[in-house]
Amino acid sequence: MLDWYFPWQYVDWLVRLQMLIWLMAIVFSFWVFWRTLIKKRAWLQKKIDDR
Amino acid sequence: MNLEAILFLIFLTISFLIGAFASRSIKNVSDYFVAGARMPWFFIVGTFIASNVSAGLFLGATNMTANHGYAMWSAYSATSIGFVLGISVIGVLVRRLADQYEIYDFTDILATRYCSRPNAIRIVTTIILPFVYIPLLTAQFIGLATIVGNILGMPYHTTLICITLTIVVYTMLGGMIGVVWTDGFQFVVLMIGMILAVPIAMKTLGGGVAAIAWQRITEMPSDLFRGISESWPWYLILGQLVWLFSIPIQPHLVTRFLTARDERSILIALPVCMIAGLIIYASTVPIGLLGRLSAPGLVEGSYYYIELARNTLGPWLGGLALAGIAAAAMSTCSTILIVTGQSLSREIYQKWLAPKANDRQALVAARFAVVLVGVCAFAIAWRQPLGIFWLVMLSASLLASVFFVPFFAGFFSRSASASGALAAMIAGGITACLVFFVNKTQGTHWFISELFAGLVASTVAMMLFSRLYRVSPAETQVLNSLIKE
Repeated sequence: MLDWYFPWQYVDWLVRLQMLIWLMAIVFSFWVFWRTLIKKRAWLQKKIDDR
Repeated sequence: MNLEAILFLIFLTISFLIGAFASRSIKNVSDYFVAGARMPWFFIVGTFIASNVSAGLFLGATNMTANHGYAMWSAYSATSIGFVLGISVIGVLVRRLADQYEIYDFTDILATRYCSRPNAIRIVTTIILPFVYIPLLTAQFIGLATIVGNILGMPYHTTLICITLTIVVYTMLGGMIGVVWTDGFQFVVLMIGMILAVPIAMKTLGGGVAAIAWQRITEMPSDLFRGISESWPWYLILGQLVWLFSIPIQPHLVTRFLTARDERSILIALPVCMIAGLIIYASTVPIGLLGRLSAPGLVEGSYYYIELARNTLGPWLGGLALAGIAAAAMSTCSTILIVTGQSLSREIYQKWLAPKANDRQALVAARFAVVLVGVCAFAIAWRQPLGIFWLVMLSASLLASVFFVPFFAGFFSRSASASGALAAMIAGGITACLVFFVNKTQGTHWFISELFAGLVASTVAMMLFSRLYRVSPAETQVLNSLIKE
């Protein structure tokens, strides 16, 4: 069913590259998201330590 | 009245009621302008995506994908980088700036960073915003009134009055809180419409077997599956980079981040925005191609998306899919209304006409400005002038040419000065307009598109003038305040 939205085997190299750019942007955004969560954990830990 | 029309009216009423209800939460100017800066991440996702997706994507992009197929991905890949830059860089920095200074609108951001010449920066920005946004708003009104009139079987002018009244009144009453809440609701409607449209249309067009419709699509001309072709040459591909440069700095998107509760909310919204964006943009290609299958001999001025919704989706989902167009257009309209209204009321009324105005007077002025912008766009839309469409086509490139360099240099270069920013805005804007006209009238591809000419002129002006007129210590202090340990 994913093929309906993006038929990987039918499109040429340029369209595949363009899709890869979006996927890499998603990976990057999850990395940023993860970093934010880790920061939050460190922030909580610091709060606990301060007490 | 058919089911499509009833669903549509329900949708309009809910949007209106949300805006009216939001007005109860408005206690001061901060609530009206930046939704009290307390919106959690899921509202940031809704408002960012709904404001970014306009009727142009549903109608214009699906017509383009019907004719050019997957080549449209050149625009979408540029959009993905624009999203990342807009949310994770500009969004975070703007929020950080707003935590330390009093920032209520787009103009405040630039005037705070370039604080040695705030008035000049405010004047230039306040001139550019209505120049770009009123034609854009008018185009959305015209599109919306045409489509809604078509669906409800009502004449254009009657529909235009109803649509304008709904949007202007809920925006005026609810302010930014109303806009963010209605955006959230409209985001849900357009996501459901987009996600369900493809599989259901595929099944209907395949006579109950989706694989048959899919096979018919794969047998379409091979050009539709190519990123570069005769109908989609290299200069069109590079021209799509306009989205990379314009999305991060579009005033109606940048101001979304002022409503965020904190930096974390923006960063948590980032991956969700990326995935929602991918779903919406990726869906436009099969929707366009399926529309082409369902209505092969489409006449000029018609839309594949509407044909597909009516022929294949059935009354319930068809109504929802059509409401999706209204959702997209209405959220863009309300966002533009509030951003332009804010700019006029704050920069003209609060700064020049009544600098000592209290909170209540400022609120009344902001509401009046929203109505004024709505009335202007309505008056132009009433006459349906074709002349405004060149401004709509130019809007993304013009915004990128004017604001990209002052924004990014402002946040990342310690030598970017207020004079440099002013020169960059003026040089970028004038160059983009000139090159656009020459390319349009002569059929040339100077600098590939007006975007690159505008960006080059803007960068050169910024470097030159920042060297001549150095950055002030106060501006350096603003930059220092953005650095977090």
